[in-house]
Amino acid sequence: MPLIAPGRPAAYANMTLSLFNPGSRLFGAQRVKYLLALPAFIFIIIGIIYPTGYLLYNSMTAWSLTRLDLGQTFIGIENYGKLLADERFYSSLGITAIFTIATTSIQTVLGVTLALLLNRNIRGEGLVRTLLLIPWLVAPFISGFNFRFMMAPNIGVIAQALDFLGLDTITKTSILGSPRTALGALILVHVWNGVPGTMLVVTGGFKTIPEELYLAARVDGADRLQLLRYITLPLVRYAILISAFLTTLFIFKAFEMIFIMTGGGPGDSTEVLALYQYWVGIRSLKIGYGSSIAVVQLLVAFIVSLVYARLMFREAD
Amino acid sequence: MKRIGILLSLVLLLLLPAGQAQDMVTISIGAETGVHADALIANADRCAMEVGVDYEAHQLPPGEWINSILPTEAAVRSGLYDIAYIPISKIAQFVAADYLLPLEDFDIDALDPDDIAFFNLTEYEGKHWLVPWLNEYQGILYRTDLMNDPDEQAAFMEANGYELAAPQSMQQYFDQVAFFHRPDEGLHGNIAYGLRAAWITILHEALSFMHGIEVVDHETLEININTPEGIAALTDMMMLYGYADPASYTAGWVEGNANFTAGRDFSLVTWNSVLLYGNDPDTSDVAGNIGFQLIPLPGDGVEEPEGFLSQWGPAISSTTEHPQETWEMLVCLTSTESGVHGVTATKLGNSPSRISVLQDERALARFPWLGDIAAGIQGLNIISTPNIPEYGDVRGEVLPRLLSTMITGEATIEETAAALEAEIMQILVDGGHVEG
Amino acid sequence: MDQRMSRANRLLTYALWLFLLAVFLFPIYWLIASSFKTEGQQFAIPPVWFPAPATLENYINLFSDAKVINSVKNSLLVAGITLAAVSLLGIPAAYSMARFRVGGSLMMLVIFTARLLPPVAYIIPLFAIARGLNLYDKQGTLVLLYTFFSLPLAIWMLVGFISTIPDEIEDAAMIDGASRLGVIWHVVLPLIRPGLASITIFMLLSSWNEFALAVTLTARNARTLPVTMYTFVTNQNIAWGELAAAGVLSATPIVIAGLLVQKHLVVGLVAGSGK
Repeated sequence: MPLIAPGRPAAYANMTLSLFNPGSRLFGAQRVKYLLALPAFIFIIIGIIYPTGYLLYNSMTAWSLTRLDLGQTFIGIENYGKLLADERFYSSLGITAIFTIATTSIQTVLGVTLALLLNRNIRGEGLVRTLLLIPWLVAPFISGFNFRFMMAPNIGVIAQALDFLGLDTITKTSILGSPRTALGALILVHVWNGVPGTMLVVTGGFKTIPEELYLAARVDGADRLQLLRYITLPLVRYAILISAFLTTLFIFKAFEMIFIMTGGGPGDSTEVLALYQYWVGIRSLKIGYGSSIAVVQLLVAFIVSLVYARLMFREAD
Repeated sequence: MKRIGILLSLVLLLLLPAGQAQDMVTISIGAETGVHADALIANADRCAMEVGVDYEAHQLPPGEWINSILPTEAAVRSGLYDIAYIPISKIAQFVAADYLLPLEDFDIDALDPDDIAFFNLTEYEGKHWLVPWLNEYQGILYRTDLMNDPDEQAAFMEANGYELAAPQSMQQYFDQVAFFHRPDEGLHGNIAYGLRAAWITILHEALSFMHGIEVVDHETLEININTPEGIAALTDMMMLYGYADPASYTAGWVEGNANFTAGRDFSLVTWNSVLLYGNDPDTSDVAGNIGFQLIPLPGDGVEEPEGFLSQWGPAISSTTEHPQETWEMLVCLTSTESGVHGVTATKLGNSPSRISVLQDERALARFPWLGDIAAGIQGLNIISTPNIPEYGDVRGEVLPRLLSTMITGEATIEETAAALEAEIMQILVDGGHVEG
Repeated sequence: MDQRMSRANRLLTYALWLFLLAVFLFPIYWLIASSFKTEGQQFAIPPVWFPAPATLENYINLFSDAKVINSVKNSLLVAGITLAAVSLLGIPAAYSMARFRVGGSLMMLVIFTARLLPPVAYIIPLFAIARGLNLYDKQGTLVLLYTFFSLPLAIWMLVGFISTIPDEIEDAAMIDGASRLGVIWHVVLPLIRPGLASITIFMLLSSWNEFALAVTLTARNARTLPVTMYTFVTNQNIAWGELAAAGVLSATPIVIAGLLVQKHLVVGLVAGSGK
């Protein structure tokens, strides 16, 4: 595998520049290069525009499946006005923020730590790393049920273990049944599910660091902590950023495990935006209003990814 | 380039819908996955043969089937199903969507309507829309081994001054729950469902009935929550959680029933279908020791028993291209013979709607308690819920969310009552059922 | 770099590994144990930590269920064709983007956006569209959608891999008279093979385990494994034993695939992201 200058995402940086490059013409001599990209571009653009357009249109209608007599009446931005005054929307936005930020940070710190622990060229390391991948590979809704039953009082194994340790105050109210512990439990379960991905990406980052850098530093008398501080972490910063980005997007959309484990409850203490959107748009059949929540969700995700994109491009310079 | 072109066209070929040519009429049945739907579809082979059609059965995950897939299909009207298996609580919604054909369009007498218990409940806007297949009654499951224990009876008499027997009134039930609540011995007065899902509303509904009110009156659409009786029902609900198994706070259907059948709890307010597996010795420690009592109402509940009932059954989609064959299929699927087959020949059986099935010896041989139901039906006065398209939302979303906030102590009873009333009122207003 | 590790240090490391594995894999153990429990053991109080005697009933039920077999076929078909379609569309596009900067950062941003779309939000529009175009309950519909949802990440990772290849290697091949496609096929693909391994796992993972779209868009014919698994959750009961067995079975092929490409998985993602 050809080695590249580590930690320098030159391709992306160059792309930014190329947009402003007057020399790049749409139909040059090598038409083939556009033909190569065209099918995928068309596919993606249609794939974005068609359903998103439909979503956007729905979000401006009063469409509700309990009032089919009304049909898809166009009502402009009325749904959005309603949304701005909707307390449950703000509550779910806040919970989504806590959930996303907490999961992403814990997962990133833990993932980097695991990657470091398993990057010491010790025999058996590869096997351990692969076994740690398994949580990532199980279908999320299966894991959701698994944890729901494990955490249930009486029948649940975790509750029994906590009881055994004398922590039965937690299980008396039950882990997922108390607003104080439910969100935390969901965060941990998502971290459990996602941390192998972070570990993989970061480990990948380590492997791009040329061994010579370490040798040189050692000759200069650097100790292990200094190697970590001045060589390893700075050089995998970009990999960490990418994995945090992917995690953020993924967690922001997280739905299945939450739906199965708490349904958004107790009360609305674990009702993230995706769940709120589901309850309103699908279960309560208010397609119009549900669509407007989805549009806002999309918008928030877009802003977040713009921030990340900025960070990444800056990293590239 | 050529290779890619060939591959691309291969992919496109695979994407093309496969055309199917068939001579025989195919009746498509849409249903959920579940015990009673299985019992219905267990008859489809035979019925298709009798009617002379082909059939295909689509069984979809229960929540998705009735809450999102079928409503979406009703909106899009693509003609996926000839027969749709639905509960009575959704009739209004699908009739509003013009998705169902009234049974009056056909020779309704072929169903022998008098043999179907509470067929009248499927009536909406003066017509009948589905043929009941499952009749499920809400009530109290209690432990007969504890109830019939002479020592317990003596102690109960001592404590309460009257005899320990199947609860005939709300107060009797509460006394029993308090009496049998002994957490140190691993026995709890009751277990309730607590997960934020429709199950959580069962106890609240039952307590409202016990206080003589319907949560939302099915005739006047009056909201009986932020009223003295409504507050009392919520207060009693909190009281019962105080005598409840700690598992109640997260229990879904499975967890709740599992705790009860493990012998940890004296009682459970639920549907009688729990008897189907509560009496299965393979999974239940209390098999054979479960009694069932319909919800006791204020006044003298013995002379004029009342009950809350849920029904599921097949309905005919207005998108069908073969109404006559579909109708014949429907008649066969819901016949006495099919009903008995549904009870006897499937893994967990069914709680049938037809009186002739309830009295059938083969069915009784499997579930003796069917006889009690058959006897109890006479003079049973059914309580109901509002027949409006939005009520599924009230029961499946609003009540679970706010009740779950209350039982975890995040909101007071008064706050919950006020919030429930406000949200439900908004739904009724939005639906155009009451003036704002 | 740690060949000179002391014995104590080594023991400590192994103890740490064991601890990590115990914490991370206990839920997996519980899933596997559940799949070998009888109905009576499943929700026993107190919980059964080790199913003895173990039963194979859940697995036997699964394998004797024609619906399960059919949905395994569907899942394989859908995941396989999706992978092929993603490769077919993604590789040339990524090559063109990495090599000639076609589309520039604008297209990169658009591709980002496609990655943001929450599938749950699209259920109703997609159902309506699928029924309108007679695409309901067809494997092809899922292929189409999964390709769409997977393509952005694939292109994104591929661009990273391809731009690690020095121009000179390709130029040499071009001088020897190879066409662009020839270069992609004979030069680029072999060089990024480790990257392809990790992309494959990512793509398989997302289409193999996808649930929200499949449950809405399939009925009987095209139903995939996750949806069939979910039908073990009925209105009366959750057949947790069979659900767990199905979960174990459905994870097995991906775990095996992961084990096979594990070395590449680690190296693979580097270029895609770290670069």
